[in-house]
Amino acid sequence: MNTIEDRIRAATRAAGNSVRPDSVPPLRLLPELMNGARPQGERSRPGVWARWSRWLAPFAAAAAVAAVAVAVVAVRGSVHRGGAAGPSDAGVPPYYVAINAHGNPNFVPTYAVVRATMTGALLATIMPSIRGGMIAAVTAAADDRTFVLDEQKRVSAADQSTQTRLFYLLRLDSSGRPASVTRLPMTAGPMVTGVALSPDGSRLAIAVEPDNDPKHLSLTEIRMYTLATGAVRTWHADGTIGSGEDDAGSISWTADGRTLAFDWYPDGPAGVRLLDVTLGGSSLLGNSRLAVPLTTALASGLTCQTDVIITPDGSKVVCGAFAGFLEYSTATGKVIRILHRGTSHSASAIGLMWVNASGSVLIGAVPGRGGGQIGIISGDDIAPLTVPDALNPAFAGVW
Amino acid sequence: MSDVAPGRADALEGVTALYQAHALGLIRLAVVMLGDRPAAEDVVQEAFTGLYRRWHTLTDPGKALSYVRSSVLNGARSALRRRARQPAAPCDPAAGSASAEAAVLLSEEHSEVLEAIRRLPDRQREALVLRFYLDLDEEDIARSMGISRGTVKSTTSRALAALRRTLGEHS
Repeated sequence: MNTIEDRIRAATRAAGNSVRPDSVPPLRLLPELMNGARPQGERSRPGVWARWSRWLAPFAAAAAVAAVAVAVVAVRGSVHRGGAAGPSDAGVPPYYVAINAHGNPNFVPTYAVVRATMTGALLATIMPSIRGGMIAAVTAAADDRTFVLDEQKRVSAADQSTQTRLFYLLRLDSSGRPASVTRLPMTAGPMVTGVALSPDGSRLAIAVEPDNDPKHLSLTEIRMYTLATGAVRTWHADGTIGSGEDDAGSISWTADGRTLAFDWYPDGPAGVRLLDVTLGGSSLLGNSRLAVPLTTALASGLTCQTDVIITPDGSKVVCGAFAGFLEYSTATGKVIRILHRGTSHSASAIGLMWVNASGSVLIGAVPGRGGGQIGIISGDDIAPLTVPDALNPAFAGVW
Repeated sequence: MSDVAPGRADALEGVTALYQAHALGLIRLAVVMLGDRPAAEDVVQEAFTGLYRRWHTLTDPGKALSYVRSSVLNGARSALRRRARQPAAPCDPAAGSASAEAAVLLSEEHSEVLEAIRRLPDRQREALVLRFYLDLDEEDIARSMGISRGTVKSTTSRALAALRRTLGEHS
């Protein structure tokens, strides 16, 4: 059997060799550049920043008042609950926070919005607190009023190691409008692969890959901060949590706040592990158990393509896959139910944003006409939601 | 050449020579990253345009290739993010796969591996492609990506673990 390294070499070379040497186009430098004039691209930059400045302007005013608060732009208007023509809410939370990127030339996440679940009505816009900053991830408590925003400065590839992430506690009032935004005391480096606010909103768990420790190159940590005191507990092991940076869903809590599920990629068998945060010790593997092995081949359609979320009752973990939304028993590790069963080959259109206590109702994104749809999923049915910012499931929203 | 502003002729000469020597390899690199030939060509052209603009700020012209390779990585990253923000074609098995690769029929095995690589986080994807496609050593990868050699090692290790899981192979 070929090793994974051999397979990567063969596949990338086959793709690279699809470009024939005689097909390379000539170098095209802009005439303005060659004439010594200011290049067109540079002239257009003020336009780009003019667009940015519209979004940054509210921050400038807010910063003058409170340097630690990100800017909040409340939107006037009433919140409408879904009527008879809308989807059944099936107990889903009434508000969500999504990330948007209008005005951003690279379409990377930029700012957050608060919306009403059933109508999609915009309730507030929350801007980054720093110039060139972006709100990269959001995590929610169970009350649907308390969220944590993960803010970072946008940097180039050459400056990745300098990136620092800041965290803000957002509280909504009963109408879904921001009541407060407060800077939290913790920070993190560039490689944050999971963020999860505990259901009671008292603790923040962050999965981190610390950089540049030559003795622990594959080190991963889960840090659990108590928001009231800033106290931190840390668990560590060699491996990776989640499938990438800016991934707010790769760790998740049970409702009792005792168990943290994390999606574990070691150099070996992978799967979902359950960390008991009530035990003493700092070993991530010693204090957790492998509940659901996830090693099925991609071709079967039964490999998780999304974050894996534990149900609040702790009985299942759920993920999106080409075959549907898979629900695994945390007791047996086996698939016990598939919701919205079907076949898809578009991983970018699959998303899982929320699960109810038992996993019988989800909010997820599925492929469909017009680029897919987001809705409340129960059984094989989906009741579409109006989610204006949902160009991609990863930014669709956090409930 | 008569249209070139005074003082820019050496920049044009240097950039053109670099393009002639490395455009094929860089377009191939961008195709591997993006799976899309037109987008790959755009990324490479933009990288060389950027190099031309900054030619006189290069303290060591010998590092021009490293500079332009970093620009291609940045451009590919932006293109992938831009693509991720756009709706995929519904229920289309080819959605997200490559127009260039559609023209040159890749095996199912190769397509599956490439799809898995393109779903990796930016840093992991770039480290793997630089290591296993370009066969760069750790120092060159670190320079191209702006990270330490240790981070190159750990990032590559994590990326391989992720692919083993996705593609169903155990170490």
